[in-house]
Amino acid sequence: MTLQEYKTTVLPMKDKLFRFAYRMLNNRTEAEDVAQEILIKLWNKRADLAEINNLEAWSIRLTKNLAIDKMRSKHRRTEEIKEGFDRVAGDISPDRAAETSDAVSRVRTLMNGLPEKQKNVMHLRDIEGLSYQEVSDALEMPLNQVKVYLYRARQKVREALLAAENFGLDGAI
Amino acid sequence: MNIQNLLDKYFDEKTSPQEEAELRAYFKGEVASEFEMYKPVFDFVAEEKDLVLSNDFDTKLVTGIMSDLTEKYFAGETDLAEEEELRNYYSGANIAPELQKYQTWFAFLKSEKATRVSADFNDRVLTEIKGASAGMKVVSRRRNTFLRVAAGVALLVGMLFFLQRGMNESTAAVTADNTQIDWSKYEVKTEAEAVAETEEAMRLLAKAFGKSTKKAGKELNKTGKAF
Repeated sequence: MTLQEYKTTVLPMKDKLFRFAYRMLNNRTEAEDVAQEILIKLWNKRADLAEINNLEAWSIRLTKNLAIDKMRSKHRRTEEIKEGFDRVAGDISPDRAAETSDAVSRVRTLMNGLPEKQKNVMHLRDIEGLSYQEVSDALEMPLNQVKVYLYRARQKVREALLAAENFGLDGAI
Repeated sequence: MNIQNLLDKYFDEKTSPQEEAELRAYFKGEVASEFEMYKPVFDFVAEEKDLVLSNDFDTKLVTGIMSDLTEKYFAGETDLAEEEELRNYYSGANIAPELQKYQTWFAFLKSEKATRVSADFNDRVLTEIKGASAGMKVVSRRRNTFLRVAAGVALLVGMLFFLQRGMNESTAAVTADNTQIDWSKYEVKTEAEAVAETEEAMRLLAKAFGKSTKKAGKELNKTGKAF
């Protein structure tokens, strides 16, 4: 693979990989680092890329694994920090709060608060538009499991939206 | 315009839309007595044609479709095309009041998809890639040259060392016992003896070389592993 081919076939995945890492890590800088590391890894493995069935799903899988490593090492680091300084899962990072409106931020909090697997499935399906099979490949999860997680995630989102309508957005989401 | 001909064609279902419009226009006005009997037909057609759907029919229809699709979405039963349809609907301006509660969700999905890496991201990746590729070549060239020189030197040093050690050992043994040796018995007296002695000397030398080469080989292996 030439550098030109890399630029046209691999590099365009950057935003997708970044967004997925961002969803998992909730930190822009770390997410960019993960995306960059994966893209460099893909360049280094360019000789083998032709053998890969679905490059996008495979790259997302690498991103997921690297993001998990980062989360683990981050967890180890934060354990050393005084209790109470940790952000609760689902909290909006200061980066993101500045980026979007209040309503959207609250919905993001809702999504980030979902269990990890439901959140990842929902992200890949609802934001990236991957097919069930692609989600299954990317997350190394059986197809039926993907559907179950997506169903549960959407039900939770719907319940929260309905509650928001009935009791006000602040209380529900 | 021959009304009779047009009527014949009309009832044979052979009129064009324009001819039908002509007939409708004719029967709206003064009608000749021989065609009076057809007037109710065209009055009825005109009346039906004037029927229009209520103004909000389209909106209601779309709302119904989108409501069903939204239900299907939250039940996890939509396909990708339907989900795209929902995203388009909810990003529009005419969302039915009863569906507005879902608008934030789809707006969120859309805004998430718009999240991009920093503007200098491509440059950073490409610089890393080019740097890494260039770095690897330099290291490999240096390493090759270094290995060649190191191997040559090790071979030379090893051979010289073991050869010299072998020779020193035999000289030392000879000089140590010098005083007790009766050299006269080693004196070559015949031609055959001289040949035999030379052969023996050659054999010993060959053996010494063999040992040294083996040892040098071993040392070289060790050196190779260290690299």
